Amino acid sequence: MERSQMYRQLANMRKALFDQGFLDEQFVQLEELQDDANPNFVEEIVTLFYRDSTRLIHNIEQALEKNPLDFTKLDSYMHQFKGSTTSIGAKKVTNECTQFREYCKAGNGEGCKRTFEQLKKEYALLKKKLEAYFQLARQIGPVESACRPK
Amino acid sequence: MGIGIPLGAQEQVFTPFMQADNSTSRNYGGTGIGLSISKCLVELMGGQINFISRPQVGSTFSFTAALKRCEKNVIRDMKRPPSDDLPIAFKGLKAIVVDSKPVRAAVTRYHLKRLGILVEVISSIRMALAIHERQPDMILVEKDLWMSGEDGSVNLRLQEWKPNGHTFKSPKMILLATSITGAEFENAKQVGFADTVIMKPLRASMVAACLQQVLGAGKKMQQGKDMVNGSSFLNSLLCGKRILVVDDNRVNLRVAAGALKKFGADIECADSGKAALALLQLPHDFDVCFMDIQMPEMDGFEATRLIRRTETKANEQPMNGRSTVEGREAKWHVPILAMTADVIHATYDECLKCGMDG
Repeated sequence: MERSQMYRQLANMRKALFDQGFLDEQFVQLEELQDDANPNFVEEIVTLFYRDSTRLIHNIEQALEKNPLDFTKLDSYMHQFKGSTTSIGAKKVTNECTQFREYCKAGNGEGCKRTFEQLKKEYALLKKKLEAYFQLARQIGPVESACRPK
Repeated sequence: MGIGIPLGAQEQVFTPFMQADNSTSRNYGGTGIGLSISKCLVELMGGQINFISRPQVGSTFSFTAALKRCEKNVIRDMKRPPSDDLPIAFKGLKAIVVDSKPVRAAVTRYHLKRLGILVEVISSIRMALAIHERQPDMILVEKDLWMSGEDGSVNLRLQEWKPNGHTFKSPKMILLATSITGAEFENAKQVGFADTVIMKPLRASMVAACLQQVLGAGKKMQQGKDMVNGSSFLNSLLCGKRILVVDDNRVNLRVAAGALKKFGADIECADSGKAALALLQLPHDFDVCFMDIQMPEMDGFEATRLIRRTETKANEQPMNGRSTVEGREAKWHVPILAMTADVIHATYDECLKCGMDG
């Protein structure tokens, strides 16, 4: 049956996201909050994350163009951003955030810029993967409890 | 075939927190203590651990351990069913589960059976209440069934259900639900449902704790294990409570709200200290406030200080004409709990100093 194939595909996608280190345990916590009252909770949170963080990314970008760099401000922006990435379980992106903050503390502007480029790549890559994942999930439709076809 | 361990790093692999180089944790994750733990375990088992590694080729780890043949009894003991950890005080109680979905009801019955409860499944509330001879100790009703108002039984005043001429204690009515709002909970209580909701997905230990609370004082509980495990305690603590969550990060706000709603709380969100102050203008109906510490403009400490100041001022006012609702304290003090990932800047003492409760 086509549906069961899609289920398997979805499960494989999900497993790959974890195995490849894109997502961590926190994402599972989000999945556990999804229920009948909140059937699209995870997708909603992820969408909110990408919408909300566009502003922050933009701010960081602008701040990185200033001369001299204001490391305190950069660190503060990144702290906020990291708060969100950890909340959705975006493992790789969070790691880049941590690295960025290390460079801020060390006052290493080049390091910050380099890490930020890497961060944006991971951020965009995760977005694509999650979009594909949610699209497939929506195609399959809401998960019904097992029942015989009428 | 793997990446292997560089020759220079090979001496250090068993040292705690050492990884071959800085990129390892970024590429592979981990904290670098796996091998040191393995070494400890192997040595505790009277053995030795070794490895051979060539960069770009891979690594082979091997170890020896001294093991004993185990006695036969151990296996039998391990096969003991987990239900032995559950309380026995419910054995023999009778329950009616009101659910129109047979598969779902079967799961509920399974969990109750593990507690020794005898279960009968009935598919409508009206039918369940009509069967007097069963004399159940409790009636568990699926929330969606109750809400769909079949046969107008939503408005059935459960307390008024008196069997014809028979006098026996009426059974406790408990809702089963995957989620519940404060309003629904209030409605349920008014119609006669118990003061707690059994939340799904079901866990036998959580069901036991809820039942203990509802059937409560009369039953002597086996105090061997602490049955109030984290989630059921939170369930009964938070169900129906009005909670204000304050965090400038909208993603975190949404996640926190989602998690608290799971326990049946009624959540309001605020994305800044200022917004929180506005919502906590007296009088308000919040039972508790979860406050993020690090917020721009006004941080959690400042917001709390201001809230306490408003409360103190109000509490100093004479009570002229202000009626005291029975049981309600005349003093304003909303419990404020700090939320933070940054424990360095937000010490417990600082939280208490500005008036937080934890």
